[in-house]
This record gives sequence, C-alpha cells and structure tokens, in this order.
Amino acid sequence: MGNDWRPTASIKNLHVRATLLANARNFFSQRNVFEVETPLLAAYGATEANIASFELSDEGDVKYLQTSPEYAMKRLLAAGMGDCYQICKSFRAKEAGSLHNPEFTLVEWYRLDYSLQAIMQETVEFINALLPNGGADREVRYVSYGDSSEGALGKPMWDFSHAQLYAIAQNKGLILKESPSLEELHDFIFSNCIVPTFDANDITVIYHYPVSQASLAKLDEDNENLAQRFEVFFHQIELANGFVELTDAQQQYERFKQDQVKRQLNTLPDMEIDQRLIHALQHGLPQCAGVAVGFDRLVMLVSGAASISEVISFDWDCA
Amino acid sequence: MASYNTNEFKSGLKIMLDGDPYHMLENEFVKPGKGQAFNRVKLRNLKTGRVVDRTFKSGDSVEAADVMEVEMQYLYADGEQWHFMTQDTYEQYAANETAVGDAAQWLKDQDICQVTLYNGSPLSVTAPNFVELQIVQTDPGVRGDTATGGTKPAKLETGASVKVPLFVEENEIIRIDTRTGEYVSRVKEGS
Repeated sequence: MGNDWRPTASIKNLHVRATLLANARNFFSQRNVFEVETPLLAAYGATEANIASFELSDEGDVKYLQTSPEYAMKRLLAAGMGDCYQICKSFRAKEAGSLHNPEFTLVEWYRLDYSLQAIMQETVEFINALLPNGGADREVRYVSYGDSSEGALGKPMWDFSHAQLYAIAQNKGLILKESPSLEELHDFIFSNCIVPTFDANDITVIYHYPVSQASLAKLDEDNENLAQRFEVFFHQIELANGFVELTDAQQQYERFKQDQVKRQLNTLPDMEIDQRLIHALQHGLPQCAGVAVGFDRLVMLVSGAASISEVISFDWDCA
Repeated sequence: MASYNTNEFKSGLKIMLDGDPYHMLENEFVKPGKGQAFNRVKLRNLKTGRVVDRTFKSGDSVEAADVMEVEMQYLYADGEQWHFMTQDTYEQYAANETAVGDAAQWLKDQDICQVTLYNGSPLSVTAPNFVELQIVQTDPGVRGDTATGGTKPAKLETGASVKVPLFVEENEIIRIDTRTGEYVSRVKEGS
C-alpha cells in the first residue's frame, strides 16, 4: 500500500491553520472590513518582472491563475467597494522551496485614506493578532530601506556603484553566468547581507524602497527616489508586502511597460497589460493603502514548522 | 557538455565549479516576493573535502561533473597504488594515495568499496561502513572484565590502530565502524 495519499501537514498543524483563518476573519470583521472574492482565473496576469503566471487554455481561450488578487481588488475599490479584504489562493510558477509553494494563500486588504504609517501599523497588529501572546513579548522596529543597508553595509545601497555591489555579492558566494543588473544585486544583497542582521525575535518593518522597486506603490511626496512601499519580516522571514497605492493611471501604465521590458530580460513570457485595471484607475482609484500577508508563513511561525509543506494539506509534490 | 538548470538542483548532484568537481549537499530556493529568485547551495569539493556556500541565479545552468559512484572489489595494493575491480564488468582501476586517503587503513582483500570516479579515474574511495579485521597486537586481556568501560589500543592486520575493550584478545577478529573508526563488537570465528 502506497503512502503517497497522506497530507504533508500534520493534523495538529491543520488545526492551527484553521484557528488562524478564523482569527484573521475575526480581525477584519471587528474592524468593519468587508470580505470579498475575486476570480482566481482571469484574462490578464501580473506583468511583474520576477513573477511567472500559470497559463490555462480552454480551447484557445487563455486565462491566467492570479499571482495575487491585487488587480481585481483595485477594480472593486474603483467601483466603490470601500475597505475590503480577501483570503485566497494565489499561484506563482516555478516558486517551490522551504518558504515557497507555487499554490499558496494570501491575506490581502485595502484601506481607504490610510497613510504608509497607518497601513504598516495595522499590518503589524494583524500579524500580532495571529501570533501567540498577541505580540506582548516582541518589539517592532521600523527601519527605512536606506538605513537598513547603512546598518549592514556602512552606507545606503544606492550609494554603492555596480562594481562595488557585485564585489560584495561575489564575496558572499554569488555565481553568475552574465553580469547582473543593479536590481538583481540589490535583491541578492538585501536577502544575504541585510535580512540576516534583523533580530529574529522582533518584527522588522522595512519601508521606503528605492524607486526601482516601487512596483504599484505611490512615490514619497518629499523624495521621488523613494516609494511608499514596505515589507514586514519576522524571524528573518518575509511576511508581508504593502504600498500606499499608486492611483495615477498613466504612471501605472508606464511602470507596467517597464515591467514588460524587464520580463523580456528575465526571459519570462510576455504578459499583456491589464487594460481593465488601467481603465479602473482612469475612472478613479480612491486614495488607499494595501498589503498582502503570506498566510502559510504565519502558520509556519505559529506551529514551528521548518518548511511550508508542513502547514499545507498537500504540498506541490503531493497535490 | 551536460549541464543542470537550477530547477534540477537537489542534494546529491555533482557539478563543476572553477575546474573542480563538487557534490551538492543542500539546495535552498530563496526569493524576495517581488525580486529575483536565487538558489542557495551547500557544496563539497570532491578533491579537497572543503564545504562552501554558493548562490546561483535561478534559471542559470551549471556544468555537470563527470562523477560516478561505483561499487568495486578491493584487490590488492602494490605499495604505490590500490587496485579495484568492478563487479559486473571486471574492469580494473588503480587509485593513488590521495584518492584512497583514510580508507586505506580499513581495506582488506575482496572488500566491496564505493569508488568515486571523476572523468573515469578514481577520485576517492569509501571503505565499507563495517569491516571485520583481525587484531595482530594488543596487551593481554583482563579476563572477565566485561563491565568496566576501560579500553586499550589494538593494532589490526591492515595496520590500523583502534581502541578496544580490555577483554578483547590478540588474534581475535573484531567488527569496526569505519565512519567513526570505533570498535563495535567481537566476531566469533566461523560465524
């Protein structure tokens, strides 16, 4: 008798997961945030430079499994939905490892008129609400991206030349076939030199990412080289990514265009720009901030799991 | 030249790096949510034994090393080289001192060893996990003393020296764990 039918998560961890799902919904209902559902399969996928979509074809009618519910939720916001959240499966091709499963669960929410500070704070409150002890024994450190690299490397990342960053990365064991882009070096050094300096027992919030990593975030009002984007780390694991959302349709369109160029460089398949999202932004996205939290990783932290497969009923290799 | 893409990375893979063959011990997928994906690997240099951490950009490929693990029977040593033979094709291979390394002290004729071939030549030899060897010299045993944990040195037929319990005597055959170099038990003759 084969053993391949068994779940990869223990029943105990699945109980933890169920409790956290209930706690998450409770968190939002107490704050009068509406739960929404949006399509997992849609006509457009994300144009992100480093995220690959799964493509499905029904006799030539091509749809993409969504890499996050962001585009559709913004269309709801433009239509007047107001504060809303979603807990849904998201899909990212090729992403499998101890912290990644190609099919995973995001908790994503949007708040009207929230500042960067307000959405960062609420994200920490959400994470603490799901972790044991409600965060009583943890400190929260808010550190700008520039300061975090200054702490680890002596000066902000953007004050280093490409050659200097490449030398740092090679020292850390990076091996490449071709000369890396500046963004690849930033990503490598951030993961390998900066994140390891975060105190594992504290929650670290990194904000004001360089404009090259602005994604769908609004730029800072005082410094156009910085984006109102943040990420949250706990136990040196990336738990959340959020923005004060870019509402300018033209700017967003141009960023998507840049993404398409980067996708080609990264040999990812072409992805058309989501016209429906652009039209929604043209109609008018209210001022808002939003964030996505990796739910599986939260379950990992609460249950003490070393791998994401221990908190997913049937992981990628067993699904 | 054969090569591996990062999506084929897994422990056990043999790859080439800076002209040396390496054994992949661990592979970890690392990716910032919005950023570039990398594969962080732990590699053991098959020539020097040194373990290093390296990171590849996901999607890149790396040259495969022509490395094979083959079970071979140990035949004899001629003073300079150790000779082995594959069991299925009876092909013979000669390994030098560097390749045989620490395994030399455990090798007895006809033992089955794991020989790592690199570009067709022995790169390293792993002795069987357990070997049975005769003691050629040790101090007289203390009869009946099987309880106290005392040990004494014993010299084996292959020249190796191991610590054995006090009650073990010269000419006895003992079982040794070659991974730790420790005595396991006595072996009754004829069993």
